[in-house]
Amino acid sequence: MKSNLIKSWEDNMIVKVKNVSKTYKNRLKALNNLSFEVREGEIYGLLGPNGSGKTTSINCLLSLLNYEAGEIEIFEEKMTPERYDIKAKIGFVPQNIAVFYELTVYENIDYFCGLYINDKEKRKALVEEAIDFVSLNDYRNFYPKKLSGGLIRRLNIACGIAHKPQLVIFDEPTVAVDPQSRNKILEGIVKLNQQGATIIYTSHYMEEVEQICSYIVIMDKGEIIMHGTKEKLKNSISLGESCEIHIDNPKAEYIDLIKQIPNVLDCYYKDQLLVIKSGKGKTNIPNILNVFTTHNIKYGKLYSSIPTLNDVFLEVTGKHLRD
Amino acid sequence: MRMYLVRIKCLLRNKDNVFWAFIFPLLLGTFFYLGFGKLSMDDSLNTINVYVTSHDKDHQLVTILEDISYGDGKKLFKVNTSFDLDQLNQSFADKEIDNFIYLQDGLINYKIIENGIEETIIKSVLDKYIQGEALVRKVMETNPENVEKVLSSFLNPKTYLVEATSGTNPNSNKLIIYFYALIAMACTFASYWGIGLVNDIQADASPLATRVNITPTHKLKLILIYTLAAITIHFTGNLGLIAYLKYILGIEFAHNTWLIILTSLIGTISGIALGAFLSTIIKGTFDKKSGIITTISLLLSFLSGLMVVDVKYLVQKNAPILGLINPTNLLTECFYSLYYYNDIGKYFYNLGILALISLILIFSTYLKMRGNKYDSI
Repeated sequence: MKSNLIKSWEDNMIVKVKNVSKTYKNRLKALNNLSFEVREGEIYGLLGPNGSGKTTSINCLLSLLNYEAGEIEIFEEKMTPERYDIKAKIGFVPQNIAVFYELTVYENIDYFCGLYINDKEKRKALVEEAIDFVSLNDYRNFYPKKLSGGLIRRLNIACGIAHKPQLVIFDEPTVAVDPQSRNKILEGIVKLNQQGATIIYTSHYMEEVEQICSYIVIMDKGEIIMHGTKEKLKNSISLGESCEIHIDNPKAEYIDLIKQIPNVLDCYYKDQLLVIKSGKGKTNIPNILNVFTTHNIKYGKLYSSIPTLNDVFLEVTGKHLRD
Repeated sequence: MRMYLVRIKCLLRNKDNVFWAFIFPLLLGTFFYLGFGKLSMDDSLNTINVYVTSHDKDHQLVTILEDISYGDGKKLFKVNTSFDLDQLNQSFADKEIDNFIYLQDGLINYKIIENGIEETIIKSVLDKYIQGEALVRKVMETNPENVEKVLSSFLNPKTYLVEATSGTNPNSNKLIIYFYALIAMACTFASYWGIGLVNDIQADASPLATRVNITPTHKLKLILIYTLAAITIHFTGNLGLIAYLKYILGIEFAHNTWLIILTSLIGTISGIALGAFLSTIIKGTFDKKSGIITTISLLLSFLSGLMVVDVKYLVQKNAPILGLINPTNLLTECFYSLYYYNDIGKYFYNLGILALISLILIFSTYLKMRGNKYDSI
């Protein structure tokens, strides 16, 4: 019974990347012994700053790029450029817009869907579904040049998912997109996942990854520096709470006073805001306010937040995700 | 079929493609026509001065040369017999005259500077005369009853003119070769379609190609369909050009229009194949590839004599293999075979090599792209 459970668990791994290393011709080490596995049904997030190796990982995964070491399996088969049977189960939404500017919205989706689906009636239904999915019904006869940045991104997505793939890879699909379109895109990805697709999602926007991903890998300089669920990642760092308090008359001596409070990890000014980082445990806000009252420090608004993935990244690498 | 039709749609909706494939050759043809004026044999060919030594002024060759006429009875040659051999030799050496004829031991000799159609005509007429004279002598020895028939054929002066001027086309003239060159140039333009198709298929060439590479469509299928679509559009443009030259501008392509169309088809395929193959080798942007391929096309045209005719003969003499592997040279050879040489065997030989090279280039393009992973995208 136990062995069956283990087998079933392993069977669920639809992507296996083992010890992949990739160095570009300019000697830039893009991936360094990278390994990760994606389970069926997950929304798997690859999070990292620009240049961390997210897109290179995806391109190696899809057998577009060569790599000097390692193995990649998709659907339990070794992935090569000529594994058309594996490619038929994959959908890909590239970071750059990849559509024909000479074809309308409908024609573009129909063309790319047609590269996977031969049956005309089935394809027609899938194209209609994809248009609905990305809410481009009113623009079906528009040429891409007439679409806004957000709408063309949605077309880019529709072209990659219309054939209903089992595995969909999104490479930074929300870059340069307005907030409204971004929300639509994120909602759509969750919906796709609910319909049964496994998703690999790369981004350098921690909010997005935090919002939709069930498992997160944080990358930097071609390596995985942390991985797990968002809760696990946040619990793995010492930071428990961040407070930002507006101070009417900021003075350097206040920092020393705050740092004497137990469990305060760090304290500094960001403009007129006093930022106080506390460790895990009970909230430190009553202690902080007590110090203010005792020393007659005048303060205004107070904001408190739990750790974000940026805090995780900051604590591990010493830099911000968007640096 | 669906992919082919969509590809055609894509190509036709691109205004640049439409301009270069359909409009630009027509504009160039119109400019050629306006620049060269109304083309006809009568207008462009003048009576040719021929020099015969005074010693030989009574030879029957002089009579024959004086009798040859064209058009509305206009004399083809003006025969000058005022100078002796030494004077003619001196004048020829001083480049004051570019031909003269003299007899030595009963044999006809001539000196000609071969640099134009007039000299080609003289040479052709004299060669024909010498051959005919030998033939008549032989017939007189072996079959004297047929001498009159042979003489009649031999003395028909029109034959000389037809063969000397245009091979298969009695009504055309030397300027028509510019319109053949225009068709050849239109074929070499097809190389840009080759760049375009690689740009849409080779994963590291464009985001669109990256996406296409993730699909389960076989690379060879994509290459063939995209190539076929490009051939369809470009060849249609060439057909339009030929029809425009023939029916609107009235350019007379002799009796070989179908062979010109066939040459244009194979030329188009070779242009696309060359552009595609070079595109797979050259790394960089579409513009960079276009720039390099334009330079290579110009070099191939130069080596084919499309810019300086003598270069073609220099290549043929010193490095004939270069001529055999240069698609542009093979294309011009096909046209020369139709226009100048009137040699259908030579025409199909060159066309066959061109077709073979095209196939090799297309297959090599596939091999370059097949199963490829790239260093960077």
